[in-house]
Amino acid sequence: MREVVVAELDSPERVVQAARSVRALGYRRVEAFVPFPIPELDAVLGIRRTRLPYLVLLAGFAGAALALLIQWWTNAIDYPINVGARPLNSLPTDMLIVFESTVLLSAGMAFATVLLGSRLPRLHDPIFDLPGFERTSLDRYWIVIGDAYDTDSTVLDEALGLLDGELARLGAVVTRARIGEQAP
Amino acid sequence: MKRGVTVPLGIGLAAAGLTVAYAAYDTRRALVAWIAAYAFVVATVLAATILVMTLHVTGAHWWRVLRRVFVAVLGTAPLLPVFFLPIAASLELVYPWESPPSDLPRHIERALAHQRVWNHPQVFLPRALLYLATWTVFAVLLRRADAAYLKEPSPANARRERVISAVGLPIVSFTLTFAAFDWVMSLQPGWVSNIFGLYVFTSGLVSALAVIALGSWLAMRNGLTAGVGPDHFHAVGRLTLMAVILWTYIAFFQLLLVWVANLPAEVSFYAMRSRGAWTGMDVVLFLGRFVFPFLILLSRSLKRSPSFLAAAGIWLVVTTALDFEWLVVPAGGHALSFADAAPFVCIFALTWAYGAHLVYVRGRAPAARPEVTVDPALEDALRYRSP
Repeated sequence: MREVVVAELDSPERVVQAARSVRALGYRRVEAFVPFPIPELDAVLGIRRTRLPYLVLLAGFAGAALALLIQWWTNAIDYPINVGARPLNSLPTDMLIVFESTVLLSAGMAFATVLLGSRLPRLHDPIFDLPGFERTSLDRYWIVIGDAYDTDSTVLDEALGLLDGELARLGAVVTRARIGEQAP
Repeated sequence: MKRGVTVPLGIGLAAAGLTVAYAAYDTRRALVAWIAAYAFVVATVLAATILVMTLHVTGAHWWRVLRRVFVAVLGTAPLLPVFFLPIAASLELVYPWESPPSDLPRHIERALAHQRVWNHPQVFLPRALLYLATWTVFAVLLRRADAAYLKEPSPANARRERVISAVGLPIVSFTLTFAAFDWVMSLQPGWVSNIFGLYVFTSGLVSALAVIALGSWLAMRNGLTAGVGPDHFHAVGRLTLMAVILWTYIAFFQLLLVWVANLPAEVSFYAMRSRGAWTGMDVVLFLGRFVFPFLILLSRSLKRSPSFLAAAGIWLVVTTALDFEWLVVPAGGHALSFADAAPFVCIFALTWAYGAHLVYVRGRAPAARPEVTVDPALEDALRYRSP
């Protein structure tokens, strides 16, 4: 059984405060679902900045190197053509392809990494089963406490009571939720 | 007077003395260096003007905490006519259309003859006056509108800044392009490049942002910009990275078009800049103005560090000065000279002193008024968080 605690809030300021108090209680597996990005929330939830840029930079360098290599080999080695006595390996004209290829590989890397990193090819997620979850893309701000992917997680009554006591002052509706029970 | 004004003023006056000595030793060569230094400062100040106008027109608010620095950089434009005087007084010493060298190829002679009417001093000088007057007027208008807005941050005063900017953007852009053609491009007989005005602008944009980064850091250390944080420097740093890429893009495409066409009249520009010490300058500019700043400015944490961005600013100001040295001095077949540093330091330091003076003048204004009106744009700027 996958059990988590779900807190539903009605404003971005309150969801940040709620996340802060839940983290202050010592909970580490806290996830927030909100209709738009709230920058403060990342810091509160302890989400580290993505390392995606380094991967993209690496892919960009690879793209540039690949383009240089292909053009050098085709123009200067495999099929040399003298164009108005310019050097066979004409770097200025190579740069256009180098640029395009840099952009192509880095954009492709960014796209693929974000797609896979957000578990996107999967169309259904157990968390969608929660009643009313669709409003997190409209006007509700949710905090999910617990591991939604751990099939053994359970919520103790004391924990639920404690969280309820903490979050009720922010107007939160705190409930225990079982997710992933229906077969997809 | 504040030290922030007296120190650059002293440096500028000392450099002015050295420049006079340089001119006494070799008037023609000193004047060429003066034009290079002047073009460098003109491009920097006008790029700042265009930047601020763009920020006004697009309704950006993040820069309002650094407003005083931005406006001080563009506010130095009234000094530009003063520095133009030595050039106006001795056109025949440097401009080939005024005194053509004797051993020119036929096609260049023809090109100069073609320019004779447009570049006749009686046409050239009134045109220069028109450019300088335009820039001075817009700088004064923006400075006044800025002061009015600070006094009373009303929608009407915000609109006034927006209207001045919307009207000024095309006018300043065109006059900058024409001035670049007239004052710098015409130094190289018979050479034309349509992209040249944009090249001068983008090069100036790099140093304008570098000066703003450096000035903002100094202003922050002196407690002149309350509420400024890493997010604001991050935004300036991002724009600087963009300017570095833009300059490289324009510079590269000018080279590529000349390379592809391979016409003698056009290639002469690059041929003159790949002789002797200028070859070294090519490498310094490519590495120092593109590769190195590009890689460094990619880093998010470095852009968010005010002191780092100020250091990068010094580097980019120096390399922009080198870019203008590279652009102007070889045109007349002159060699690289360290003495050229004197006019660069002179014009830049004097302009900086005037800008610093504007920052301090502005510093007194808000404290003088008793009631504090809420400035919604400033509120936005204080809340600004860089993504």
